[in-house]
Amino acid sequence: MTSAKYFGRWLREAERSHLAGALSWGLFILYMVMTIVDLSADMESVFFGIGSMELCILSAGLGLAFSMIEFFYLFQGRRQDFYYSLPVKKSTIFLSRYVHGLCQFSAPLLLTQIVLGVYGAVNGRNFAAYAGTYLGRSICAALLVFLVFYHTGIFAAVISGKMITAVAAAVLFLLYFHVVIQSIFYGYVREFYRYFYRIPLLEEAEELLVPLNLSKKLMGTDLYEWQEAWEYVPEGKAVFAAVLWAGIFLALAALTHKSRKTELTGRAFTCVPAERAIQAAVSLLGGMGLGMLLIDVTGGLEYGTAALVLLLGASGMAGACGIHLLTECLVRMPGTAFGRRRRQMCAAGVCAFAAGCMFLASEAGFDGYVPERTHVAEVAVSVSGLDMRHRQFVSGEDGDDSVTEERLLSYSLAQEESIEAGMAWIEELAAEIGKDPAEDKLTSATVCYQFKDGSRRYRRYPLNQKSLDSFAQVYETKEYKKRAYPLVEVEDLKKGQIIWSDGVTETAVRLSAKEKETFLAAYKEDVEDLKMDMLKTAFPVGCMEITSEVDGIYLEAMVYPFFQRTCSVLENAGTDVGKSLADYRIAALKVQTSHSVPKGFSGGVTMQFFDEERDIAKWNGKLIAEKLAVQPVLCPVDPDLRAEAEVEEEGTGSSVIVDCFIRQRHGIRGS
Amino acid sequence: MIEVQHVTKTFDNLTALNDVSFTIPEGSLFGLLGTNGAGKSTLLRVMAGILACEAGRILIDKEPCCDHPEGKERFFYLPDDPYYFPNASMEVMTEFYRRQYQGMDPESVAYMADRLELDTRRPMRTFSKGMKRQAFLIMALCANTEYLLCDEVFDGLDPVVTEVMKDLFRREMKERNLTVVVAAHKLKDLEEFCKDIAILHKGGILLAGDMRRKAAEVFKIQCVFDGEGNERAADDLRACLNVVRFRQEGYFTTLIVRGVKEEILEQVQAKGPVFCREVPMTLQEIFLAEMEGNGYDVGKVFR
Repeated sequence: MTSAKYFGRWLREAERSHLAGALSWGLFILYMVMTIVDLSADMESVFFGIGSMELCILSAGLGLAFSMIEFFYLFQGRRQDFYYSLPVKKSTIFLSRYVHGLCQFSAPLLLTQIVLGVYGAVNGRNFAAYAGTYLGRSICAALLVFLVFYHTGIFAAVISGKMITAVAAAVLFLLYFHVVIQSIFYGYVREFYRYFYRIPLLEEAEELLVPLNLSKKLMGTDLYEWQEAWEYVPEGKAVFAAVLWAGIFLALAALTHKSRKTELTGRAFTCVPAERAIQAAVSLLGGMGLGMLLIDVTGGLEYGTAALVLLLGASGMAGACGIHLLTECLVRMPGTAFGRRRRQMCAAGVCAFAAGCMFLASEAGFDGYVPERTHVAEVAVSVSGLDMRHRQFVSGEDGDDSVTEERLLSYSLAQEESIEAGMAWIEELAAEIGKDPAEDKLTSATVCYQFKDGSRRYRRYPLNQKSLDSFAQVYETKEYKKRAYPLVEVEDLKKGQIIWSDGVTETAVRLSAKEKETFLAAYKEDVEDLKMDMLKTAFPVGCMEITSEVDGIYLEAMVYPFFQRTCSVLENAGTDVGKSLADYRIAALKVQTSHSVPKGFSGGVTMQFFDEERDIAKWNGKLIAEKLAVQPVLCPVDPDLRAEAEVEEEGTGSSVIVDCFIRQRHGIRGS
Repeated sequence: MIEVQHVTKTFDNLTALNDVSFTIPEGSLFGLLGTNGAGKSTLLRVMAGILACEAGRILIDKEPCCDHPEGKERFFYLPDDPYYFPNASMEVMTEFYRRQYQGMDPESVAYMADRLELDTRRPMRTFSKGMKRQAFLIMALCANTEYLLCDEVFDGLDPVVTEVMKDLFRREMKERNLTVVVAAHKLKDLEEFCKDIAILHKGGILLAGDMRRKAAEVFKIQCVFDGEGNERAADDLRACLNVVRFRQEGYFTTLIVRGVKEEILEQVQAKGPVFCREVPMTLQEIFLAEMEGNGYDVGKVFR
């Protein structure tokens, strides 16, 4: 009862500063008004709760700001003397401030979310059914995000004696794992593991240990579909991680506050264990960071493992010692001996060295890893440049993995025969470890093993001509062909529309129901007879675009000249499958040539324009429509040349601009 | 009663208070005297529960005060440079204190402020140092706590206001048995005001208690010897008396001696002085005598 009396008094006292209230109410009302304006324009792609990046940032920002505003007295010696001399427990002041900050966030959040929920339910046709649950989940998610940042900030404030160190500590807590994982661990991984593509464990660690990423996950900020957002429930592990994060920091803050020495206000840190832990963590980061930097600059692997170990050891110690001494300068009190905590400094250096060595030592295990067949449920393979447009291949080579990701999802092999073939091929690749794959690298293959427990592992292997050729054992399995040529899985084409495209013009293919059946059977037989080697011999003659009127599914099916049965059916239906870009009249041609330029220089592109028939004729037989250049590895085009052809249509006299590539003179690259 | 029992407080490697023990009786005006850095403010902050001590404890009416709200309601701590909320007036601060101290009497604050010509509605940041000091002294007295802990209480006050405040203290002590602990670094601030005084030096207590009572056992004798008597006086008197302080200027000898007055005078007379008499001692002399007797250099304390 007595405690409640003191708590009540101090909760009212916490309201003396209106900064938190003004900030919270002001920003939430602004957010509400702006969201209402957006909602009035578009109800189904604007989210006011889950799915809203703005609410996520607002919750996180206010959490951090409130932790500093509410606990600012911890940095003011006189004010602390004043408070602590009054008839109140220190813990009561702490608790009243904590509750005040929480209320200042919760009240405007609740009110604005309810207003926005009511507005959405009244004005949105589909939203009304979801309003209640969406509102509840949004409030909980925003509150959880706030608590993660609020508690982190409070702990930073409690262990610090100055505002500046509190802010620095909070930033360190919030970004430490991001820097360690992104800059250090991924740095080591990219440097040491040749077959690295993705490590789900690191991805998950970054998602759960970095508060901003965790907040985005809780708030579903990557959602764009209205129904998906309105039904979104954060993953259990994300909620657990957030609760754990907030709980640990609050418990640490409460414990540290209990033993916090008032007289240490004004110093960098008021809690010696926390000071030591931060100093050690930063030193470790410094040691690992310097190691990573030096490996990056010197190209460590070139000098052999012994040199690399030496470099890791030296840089780990030097980096850790340097940062340790630097932090000593910042936190040490005048008069105390310089170079304290030498054991801790050495331990940080040794840990930095050990971390580097750990990655280095696991290199062979990582690169040579092939799982046991019995553990694998599915295996997905994406060979860059196989059955993909040239632009997609180039962007993939430049680091854009979106096509690879899409392929790994759709090219997952689950049948025994295809998994066996895939695993056998991967084992061959992994056996190449120790050889320099970059020497005759043609392309790369990304592999994803999905295990029976649901976990995944990824590897990306470089492919030379031999290993690419041996991929035929996988390519020619029924299941892989189903993924590469999805039309073979279609049972009924009666309700579908077929458009034939030769890369320049498109024409509808008019087939009766029976002809469609014949066509489909012919295509399936052609695909069944297809050998991977055949793809090296010719570009497709055209592409069929098939749209089902039943489910609206759109499929593209390439037709090669060696798909004789299919070509025959199409020709019988009046489609000129032999017509190519060379058969059209090209009125003008623009050819763009790329040349390599030294690093740091721009340019390297020349352009030529041709409108004379004899000039164009020189190019005519070499041009291939971009749409049909779908085998950049097996049947490559010249990567340095691009063209735009102005094609005149005979019937209408209109002009069509066709993006083209130039056929490579010697056929297969590298052969 | 405040009991300070074996209190030790360190700041890093510096011992601010070293095994300090003394008792402050109820209803007394207790002075804490010491040079800058002697540990007076630290002791007051420990007593107020602001700082936690590494060893020992402080009991107020047999109850610990640190982080104990009910115990803390018994005293009011007034630091050297008191904190007030930004833009707060005396009225606002009184209202704040009223919520903390049940005995706080806003009407008395208004009355006393009026007597001292302080505007209770004016922001305190606009007050001079002396006015702020007066304002806080008024609020401290009107909090009606049993104990008042003040650091450098009269620093910054003019002599007239100092006397007024001292009178107010005396009146409160008389009316409601208020116990006041005052820390100061100058003896003249405490002389004639404090009955009990503790001297702090380098974190330790040199002396504590009722100085006037201590003076009852120490006497100051002035005498004149001639010829050989004058030369031998130092050795002769030290041999037969408990001499705390001995000073000789020409034929004029001043002695501070501990013991029974009659016996001392008898012993001095036996040495055949030309002239001999007892003179009254000031508080400062009592301190000097006690501290020099203990081998301390006390020049700084009484400068």
